[in-house]
Amino acid sequence: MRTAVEHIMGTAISIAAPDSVAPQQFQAATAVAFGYLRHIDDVFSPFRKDSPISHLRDGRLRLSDLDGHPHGPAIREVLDLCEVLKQASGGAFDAWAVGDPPGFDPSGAVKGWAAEHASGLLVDAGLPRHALNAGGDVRVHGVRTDDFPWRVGITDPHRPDTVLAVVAIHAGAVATSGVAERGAHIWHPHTTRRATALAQVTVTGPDLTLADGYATAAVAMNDVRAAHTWLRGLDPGHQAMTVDPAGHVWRTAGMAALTRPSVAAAPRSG
Amino acid sequence: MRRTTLALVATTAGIALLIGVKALSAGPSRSALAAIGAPQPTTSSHPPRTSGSSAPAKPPATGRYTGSPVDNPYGTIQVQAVLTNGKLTNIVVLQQTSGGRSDEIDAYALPVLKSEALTAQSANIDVVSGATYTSQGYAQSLQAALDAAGR
Repeated sequence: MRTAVEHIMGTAISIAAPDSVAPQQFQAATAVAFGYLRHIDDVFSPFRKDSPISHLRDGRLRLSDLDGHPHGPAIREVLDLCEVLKQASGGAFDAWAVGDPPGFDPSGAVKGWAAEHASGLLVDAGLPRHALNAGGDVRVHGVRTDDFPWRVGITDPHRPDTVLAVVAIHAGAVATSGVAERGAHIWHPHTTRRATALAQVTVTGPDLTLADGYATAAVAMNDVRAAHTWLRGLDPGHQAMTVDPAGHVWRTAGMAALTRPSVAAAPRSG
Repeated sequence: MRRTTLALVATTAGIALLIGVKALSAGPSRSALAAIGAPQPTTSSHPPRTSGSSAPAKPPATGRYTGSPVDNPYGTIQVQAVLTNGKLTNIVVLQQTSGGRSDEIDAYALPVLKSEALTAQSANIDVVSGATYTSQGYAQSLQAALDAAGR
């Protein structure tokens, strides 16, 4: 497996592709994807005082200013996504009510969205088979090799050096949100409380943009029963697994099938 | 294609023996997980107690090795280890408790049992999904180990 890693967006972005890809092609393709993600970080980072997103947050940039703004289209795309996630989650995902005091921060949507785009760029650049891991949010394309699926481990939030389950998929996304690595950092909207009811939520689906947003929204709900009811009702193609602070695991029926032993044990070539 | 291995791989006999020995070990345990235990990432030999059906010391073996049923306060559990060329590639749960509150117990215990074994013995995963790690936290992550092994 060819692998490349760069530190962007405050985390590590890992890209892997089968050895059958020429080294030069792998290098060139990953350079495109990493370059794109660095650019997105420049535009959307809430930690950079002069990023357009920081300007939106403090009012120096107004929504009406986005027409004609060099980054207007991308920012509008993210704002639209934030609105979709807010509607879909009954307000639990609210990019306009993050933190204390509540303010605008679309970070919960940006990474998955950007990684989905970066994965598409990798395909365009000649990597039809690859796995992209944006700090724990995973997008895989194409069969891994020889008709075998990619095997995506889901970490145990209480012991991050072990995997709790393995999902075997040919293409799609596996997004996980939780408190294991950064502590409670997802906010329950409008209450200025950090969400801690679930230690970790994993959502699988066809694309990383929605899977990541849904996982974050479920954590932000800060209510186990409500989150499970909502996750069970996600549009077809999405499955979910949660872990609560005591270590109890809950899975949708479809997720149980994805992670059942006979699937997870797909034979691998040596 | 190179398979990534995060930990030392136990011998075929070691795995079969471990499950057999643990399955026969005395006393009810508090959970299915504790009853079965997790294989240790070691190449050393295990105590010479055998279950009578453990594998001969002729690695690498391919096949299924079935442990004895184990009773615990929540019911009965029996597992089967699947070995391919001497590597543990899967654990199949043949019996598990169902109904009532034991569902909750198993929901956690069984995935953990399986994941512990897979992590320790073969970890043949390509990529790891988890809560977003920091740039610093990445160094200790499973993904970092996979990235390093892929080179």
